[in-house]
Amino acid sequence: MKFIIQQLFILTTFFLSVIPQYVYAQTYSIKGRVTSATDNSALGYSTLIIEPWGIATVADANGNFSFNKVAQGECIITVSSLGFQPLIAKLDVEKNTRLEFKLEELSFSLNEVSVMGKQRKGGEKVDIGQSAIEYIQPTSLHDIMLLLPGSVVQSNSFSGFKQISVRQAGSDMNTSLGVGLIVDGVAMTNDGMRNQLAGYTPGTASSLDAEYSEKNPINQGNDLRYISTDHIESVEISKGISSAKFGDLSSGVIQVNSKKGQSPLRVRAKADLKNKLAYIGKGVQLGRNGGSLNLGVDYLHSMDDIREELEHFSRITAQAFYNNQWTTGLSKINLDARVNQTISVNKARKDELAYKYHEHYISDYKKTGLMLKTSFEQDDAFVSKINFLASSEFVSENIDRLKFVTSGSSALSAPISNKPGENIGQFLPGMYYSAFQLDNKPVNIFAQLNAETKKYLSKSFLLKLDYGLDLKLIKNRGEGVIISDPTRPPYPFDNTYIRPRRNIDIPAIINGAAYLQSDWIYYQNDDVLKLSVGIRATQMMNLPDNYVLKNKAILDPRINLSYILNTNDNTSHSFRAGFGIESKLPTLDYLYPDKVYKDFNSLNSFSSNPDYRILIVHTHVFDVANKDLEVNQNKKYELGYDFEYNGLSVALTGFYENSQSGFGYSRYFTNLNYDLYREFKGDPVTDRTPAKEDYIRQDYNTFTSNSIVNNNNTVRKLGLEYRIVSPHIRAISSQIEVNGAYYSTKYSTTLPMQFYPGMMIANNPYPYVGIYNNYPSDKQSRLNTNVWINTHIPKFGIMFTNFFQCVWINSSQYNDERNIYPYQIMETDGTVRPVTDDELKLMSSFDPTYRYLKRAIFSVDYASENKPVSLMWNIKATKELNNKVKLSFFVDNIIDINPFYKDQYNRKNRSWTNPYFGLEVFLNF
Amino acid sequence: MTKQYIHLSKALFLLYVFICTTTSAQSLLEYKNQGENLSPSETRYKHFHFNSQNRMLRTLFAHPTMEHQIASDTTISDTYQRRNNVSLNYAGAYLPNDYHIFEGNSFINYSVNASGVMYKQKFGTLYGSAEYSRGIDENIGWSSIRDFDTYAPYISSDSIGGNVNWEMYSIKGGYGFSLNDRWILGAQFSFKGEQAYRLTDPRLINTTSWLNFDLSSSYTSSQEQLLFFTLGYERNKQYMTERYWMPGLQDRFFHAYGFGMYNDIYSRVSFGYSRMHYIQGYNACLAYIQPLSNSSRIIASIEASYKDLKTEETSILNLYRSKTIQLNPSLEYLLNRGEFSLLVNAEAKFRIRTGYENIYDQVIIDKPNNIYDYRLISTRQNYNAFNREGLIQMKPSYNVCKNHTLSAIIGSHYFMREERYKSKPQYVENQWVEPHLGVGYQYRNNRSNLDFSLLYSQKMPISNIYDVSLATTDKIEYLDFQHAFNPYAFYANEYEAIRLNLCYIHRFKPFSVGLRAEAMLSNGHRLENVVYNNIIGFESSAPTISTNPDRYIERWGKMTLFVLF
Repeated sequence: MKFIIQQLFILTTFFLSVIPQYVYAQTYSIKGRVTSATDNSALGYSTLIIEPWGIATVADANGNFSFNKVAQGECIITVSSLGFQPLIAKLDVEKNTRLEFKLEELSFSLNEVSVMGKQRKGGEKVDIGQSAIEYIQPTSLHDIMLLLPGSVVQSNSFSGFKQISVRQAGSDMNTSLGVGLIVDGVAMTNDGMRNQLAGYTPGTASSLDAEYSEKNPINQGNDLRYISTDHIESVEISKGISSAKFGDLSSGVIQVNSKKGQSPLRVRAKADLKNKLAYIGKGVQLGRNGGSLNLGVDYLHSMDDIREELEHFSRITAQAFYNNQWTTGLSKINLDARVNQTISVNKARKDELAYKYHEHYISDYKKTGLMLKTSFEQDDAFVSKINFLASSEFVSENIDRLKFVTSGSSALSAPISNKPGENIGQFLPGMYYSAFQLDNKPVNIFAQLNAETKKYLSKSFLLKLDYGLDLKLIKNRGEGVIISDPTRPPYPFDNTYIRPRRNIDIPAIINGAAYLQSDWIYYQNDDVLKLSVGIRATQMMNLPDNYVLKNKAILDPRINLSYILNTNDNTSHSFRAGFGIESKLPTLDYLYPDKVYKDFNSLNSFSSNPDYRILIVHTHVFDVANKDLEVNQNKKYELGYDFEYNGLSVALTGFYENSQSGFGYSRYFTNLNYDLYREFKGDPVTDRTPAKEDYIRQDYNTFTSNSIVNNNNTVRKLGLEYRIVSPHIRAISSQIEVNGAYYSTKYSTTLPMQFYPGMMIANNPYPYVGIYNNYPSDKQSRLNTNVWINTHIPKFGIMFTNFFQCVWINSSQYNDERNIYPYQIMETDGTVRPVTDDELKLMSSFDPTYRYLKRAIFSVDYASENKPVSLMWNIKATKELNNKVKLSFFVDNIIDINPFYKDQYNRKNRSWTNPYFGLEVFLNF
Repeated sequence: MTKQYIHLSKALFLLYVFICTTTSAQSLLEYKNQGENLSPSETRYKHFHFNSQNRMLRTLFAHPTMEHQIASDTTISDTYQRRNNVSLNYAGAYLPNDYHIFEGNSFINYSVNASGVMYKQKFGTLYGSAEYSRGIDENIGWSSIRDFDTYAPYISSDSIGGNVNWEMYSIKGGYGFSLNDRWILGAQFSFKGEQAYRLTDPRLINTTSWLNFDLSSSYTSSQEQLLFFTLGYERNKQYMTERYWMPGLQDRFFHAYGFGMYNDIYSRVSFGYSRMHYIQGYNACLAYIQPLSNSSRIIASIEASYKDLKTEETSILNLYRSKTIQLNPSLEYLLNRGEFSLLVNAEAKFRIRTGYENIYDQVIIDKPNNIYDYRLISTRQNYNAFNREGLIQMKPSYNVCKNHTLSAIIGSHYFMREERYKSKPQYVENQWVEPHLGVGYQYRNNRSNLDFSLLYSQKMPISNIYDVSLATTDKIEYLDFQHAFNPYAFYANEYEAIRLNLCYIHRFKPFSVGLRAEAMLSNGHRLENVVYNNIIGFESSAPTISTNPDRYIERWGKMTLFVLF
């Protein structure tokens, strides 16, 4: 790490030293004020950005702003403030200038209201502003993703966790885990959650109980259900190559900007088939120089299946955002502070059996977040801005489960010792209650020190440097699995019994990173050439010495090049290219799995007389931690072309992503040897408790398997995204956006498959494990087109959207190498050897032992399933009354066309879809 | 105002006068305030009531151009000028004895609805309404689908039944504009979606949606005659799924096709099942209004519709299909003589439904993998239903003095329903008349309106025939008691009923506030000879009625609080 930081320091120094300090570019200041067009009141803390230079500032409480150094020539300034229509103006900077900007209150009576995402010129990043967020009536961040090319409508389910899908057909855990979520500059994480409980842990071979894995996103990234959109002012989404400032991600970035500053009292109520939501919020100015405080609270009640009255998701989120600014001379200090609280309760009883037997499942989730961000700005200094950001997040999730366990026909056993070797076990009753809790208390601390340097190398050439350090600490302070009575296991059918380990005993994850992002912007005659080069070095600093990631620097180079060519006839062409490596670090759960204890019955003598029963188990302990675990590194390539002509814009983005080291669980077989006592030496002992000596000792050899996390998952993504936005068509008062994507995604694994027939041969366990050169893969393709027709009639204060989603291609196909014979065999002593030709012959014959290693292959399993073209029509309408009340109604799937098709098995099939509808009232006082 | 609009404006003014005089602004508001019928009792209440003019209003306002006809007249300065309203409704009903088991016998619902009209000169008129409602219908038996009358006889059911909660969202929006001084064009869109669910086993969920599009034109002749013509498209979908929550429990789910018969092959014992229903419908409506300057005038209207229903099982089989044709002519005559006015309205409804059953065979399509698929081998047409309905009413009104009006009404409602099945001849018929008379009083001054009416009716049976020979034996069990006798017995009764309506509106300067109370009480009994003497097939704990004659009592009430602005 030290080496890397040194290298970065040298690199930075080099960059800065090559800048000729004597270079002179004529710059001027732009000062002014931002006010409301309605009543001329000051719009404090408005944001102003000057393009193409990308220089931003925030106005003070009185709406006054200043840019001290703006290069001579034309530029575009964008002014935005919460609750107001953003204003875009073109400036010709020839002298020190003073300007006054008057912003209109957001209303559908305005002529231009944007309710769609807006792609940034020269990039693939999409900005989604407040009017779009309000209009799409989101319940969570997931809903906002629908505005992006390639997205398709998904169900509005809150009961279960929903993976984030990025540039892919289908979804997978690694992509979802690799999506970076940045809220007000803070990298959010869910990597501290862990629940290693046999039968419970998702992704492991022994996972029996879906009730947990469906609801909780362990190793799958941030849970967007907990991010309320009511506290959000805008969202920026980048699916491509992100800035080096952002790390510990592999699948793009979602940047969320919270509401801040003054705003009217807003009340929102929404009801649809699954969700009921209410929000109230207001931003106030605290005296003349006291800053502003924006407060909001919302409540969401969601039921995925309305018949399941006790399985619901309820969430309350509250947020307070304080910001202030102090100006002294040419320097400014900005302060942002945020406190947010999320509380949710998920109570579930799966069925009437749960009622009958008084089972319960209660998930209690609390999250408290604190964020402090301060920046010091001085435009004319070499370091024009220094930011310091610190945040902490305290999460507490407690799952309280009372489970009724029935053993079925035969008596089940439970171990009671933690030691390996032979131990006395006990028989479980035919039915019993198992009470346990899963306690997670992740603490996430994030700190970032960042500096910016802006230097005009000439009047047309700006170099911007963004460099800094960040530190992330993740520590789970929870108690882990708490079992009140270890002799009553909740999942006795799985012989990987629990031996609780406290989460607090697991080391913290401490990741440090240094980054340098440089933007070289050349602007001449309206043409812009921008080269962004960045590098990020990350190190996991608190790993045990035997982990390969210990002291390893992970380097993520990223480069983006864009050229915007503006011609004189309102036409512009933009060419983009990029390459980058993004790395997702392993989570706490992947790094530190609990040891697996497996207990095998050595002597099992069950008698109707409890005094004569005896159970001896042989306990084996497996350390399933993978010390060789690497990061999941995703290589991304991107090419883009954008075209604009008189309001018509076309954007095409082609990409290729190759992630060869995704996390995944693989099943490994291990040989086992222990003593087995099952045959009496003489007559069966029935008048006392039998002892080992009464039995013939048998040397028992078998196999067992464990799930171990590896970097064995690969995801290859290839695709083309497109987006066509029409100018406002007066004849139909509409703007039309057509977007979509072709995605071809291949999910596969890089490890050979192991197969154990698991039967008895001549009263002995089957003696071989077959190892096959079969690498299962699943290839999915999707081509979709989304057509948004936004009809805006300012005279009537109406916005009406017709949204058509057409999926042209939707196919999936399973494949593997179709090797029916193993290439290696594992013996009962653990040795692995190649398969001989003679053995192959035996396998292909009816040999009583070897024939079981021949895998059956059915052609239908490899057939592709191609769904026919499907169409879905969704509508949304909003009527505004007096700029105070908005009434909205939406229907998804109002009409759908899902033709009949022949499925993978050549049977006639068809997808059923249902309309989904709801309404919303929005009050603005 | 330009010359070309003079004709139209005059016609519109007269139309408004017509509405004020023949129906009163009060009635119009009453019509505008009405949301969806949220219970079968409310639907029965509205079969006929004292404000008979609302029936024609409903017909006229079904034309999207009508709102523009009214709204574009800026000379109107009465209550109706307050074109936006918000109302809160609460209603409840109870039938303690005989009831239609597919509907349930207790209904509680509440709703909030808002509607508005926005007129912009040169641009046209935009109008719309939205409603959210929820409620509970209790003791439903032997039908798992909502709005069974639309899908009958192809209903599906479990044998348990229970209470059904529901939540409904509806929206309507339309736009009308003047093409020239004679023609107005308009379009209308409406959507209604309902989610109904049962919280007891077998747990049921129904998602039903109705989507309608209408295109309309109206023409004003040089003699100030108005002609409306509308073409509409309708699409309905009902998704139904039910299954047992309690592990291990299974039951038989019936796919019925009338008179208690059900598809034995597909009515399997299982943990649950799902089904989809699709309807495509088309309708046309023509209305004519005589010159409004006449002291006596006629309004005539005729509506025709066609509906094509298909069912779809999870196995993608389309077991049933029905085609329904409906015709609904109506005529209204109004005479104005000073303080005296007379309204006569006559209306008829004819509905013919033809049912089809598809027969499938299972064929092997992939022998090595043992995969089967279905093949349609035959379609048979056996089921027919015919409903006839008629209403004639006469309503004289007299303005006693400036603020007080007295009215009376006399009329009769006629209804006949018959169902028949060809291959195994079955026949059911109910036929009755319900003469009625009522009195009303209206008071209005500058600040307030008061409306009160009371209507008495008596249902008199004409003919009731139950010729169903599917009696359950030891070997075969039918659902004839549940699916044929139950509805038959519900209609084979006689009773007396009263309908009450009280409405008060108080005007404040920027808005008006109103309160309306409506109630209906029916009291009678099933006819003595309407008895079920056979063995009941699949006897279960599902809600049902008795085999012997029982009393028929229905109580329904509704309160509405509304604001007009």
